[in-house]
Amino acid sequence: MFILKDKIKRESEIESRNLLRKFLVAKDILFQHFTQISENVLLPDLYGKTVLVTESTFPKIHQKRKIISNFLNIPAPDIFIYENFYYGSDINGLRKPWIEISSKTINDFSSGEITFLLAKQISHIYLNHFITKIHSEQIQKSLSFIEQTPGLNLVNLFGTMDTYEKAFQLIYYNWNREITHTGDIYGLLFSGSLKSANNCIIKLIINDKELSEKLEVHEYIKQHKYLSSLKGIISFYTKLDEAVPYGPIRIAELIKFLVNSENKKIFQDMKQVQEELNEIQ
Amino acid sequence: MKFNEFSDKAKSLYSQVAQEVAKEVMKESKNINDKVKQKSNSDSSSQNTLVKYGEDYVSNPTISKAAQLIYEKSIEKAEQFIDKYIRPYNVFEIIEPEFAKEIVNDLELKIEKGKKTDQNYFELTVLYINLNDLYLALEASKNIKDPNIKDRLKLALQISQLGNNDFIEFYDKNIISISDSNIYNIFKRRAKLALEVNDYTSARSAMELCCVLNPISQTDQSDLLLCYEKLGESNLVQIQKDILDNIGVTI
Repeated sequence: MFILKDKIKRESEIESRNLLRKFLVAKDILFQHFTQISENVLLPDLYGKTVLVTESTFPKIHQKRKIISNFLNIPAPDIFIYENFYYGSDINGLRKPWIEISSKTINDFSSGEITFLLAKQISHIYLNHFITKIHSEQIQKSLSFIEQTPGLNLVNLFGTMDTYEKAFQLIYYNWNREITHTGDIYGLLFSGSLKSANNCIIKLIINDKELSEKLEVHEYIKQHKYLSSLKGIISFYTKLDEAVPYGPIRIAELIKFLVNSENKKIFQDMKQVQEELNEIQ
Repeated sequence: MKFNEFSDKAKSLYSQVAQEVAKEVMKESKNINDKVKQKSNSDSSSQNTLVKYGEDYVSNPTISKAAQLIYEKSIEKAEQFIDKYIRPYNVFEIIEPEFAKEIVNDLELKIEKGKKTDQNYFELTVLYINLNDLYLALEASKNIKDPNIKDRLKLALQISQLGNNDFIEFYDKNIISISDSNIYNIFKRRAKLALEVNDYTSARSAMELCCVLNPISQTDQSDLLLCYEKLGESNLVQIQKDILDNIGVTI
């Protein structure tokens, strides 16, 4: 076994984090607010309206979570399944982060795709992305408190806060796009299949099982060329305004990772855990 | 905790959060404004980008015209600030000539309108090298003032001017710095020359660099597979076949 975070270091993620860090202010008070108020507001609904993954309710997901967490040497996070018509999963919580997955995802995704998704989300906990994410989201929320607070709302005279808000959003989204690529790489390494990784990404974006099964992945990836070359300020900022990268860019990023022979070796070295996860069908 | 206590605590925390963040907003906004001001001073034609490139970018009929103007102006400032740190494309990855030419036109337009920044000239130089237009690459690079950016391009410009034999010698001698330059056309030329003489070891390392910059190229990925096969790297062959399968190459 080896320490994955020592082997996978993405320069672009480090750069985006360093840039975001300059904006991450008031950590103590924001986290105090989150743990004392926001988290406590979320928890009753979590236990009351979703289904907790256990050894007997969702045994396959439970097993996969255990194997991935063991490999990464972190405590296995709680996973909650919620009812929704959309595909999706997310992490939340600060003191003891948890994963939320929609029931439609569990029903429609193949075993390999579920492995990809779980590994991707668990990696965000392993790499402490969830801490930065909550900090950033709390800053965004607190900006709206300022507008509502008498006296403090004067800060927005001459658009001061709008400037800050927009600059912060662009920088936060830039980091978020980078961690999405990193999470995808972890998903790929655990699922052991580029095909499962691509299918999972496409399903999450298209949100339609039939459509995603009809499309040819290699044709879909070609859209990457157009995306990377769109010119003009409106296209540019539309791209920068996306919190999650576009599908073809995510797939191209995975291929880029796998092209490198060092990374191919990491992929090979994880054969055992990939096989273990694949056995859970 | 009683509801009243909870409510008081939440309110008090909200207020503290708002005050702390507001303080930082003021500080950082001043920083953003100063940076944009500095940029505007050195940039004679710095006008409202929204007015220049499309008034429909922000349209919110519910806010008054005055508020709209403040909003647009603040977004413009934010965009100008961000432009220093985040580029909406990766210039090294714009390989296809048809797309590269479009970005070249866009950059030339920016420069014409006064944005004569090192970053714009740097990107132009890289694009011209990848378009095989060495004369224009050299011309664009002459406008770069920052010595670090100049150094970054120096080897790439030097090697691009050499004939095949000298090119190979120079590439192999400076392989680390050349790899750092990240220019597709140079890697592609080295890989092509190596493949012509069945030097699969050199072709492999150059082709891997090509594939990172142009991951969905069927020819580059197929050439990389050929290198692995000729070098007997069976483990790598399997993964490479998987990549080819995903980009539409049937083996």
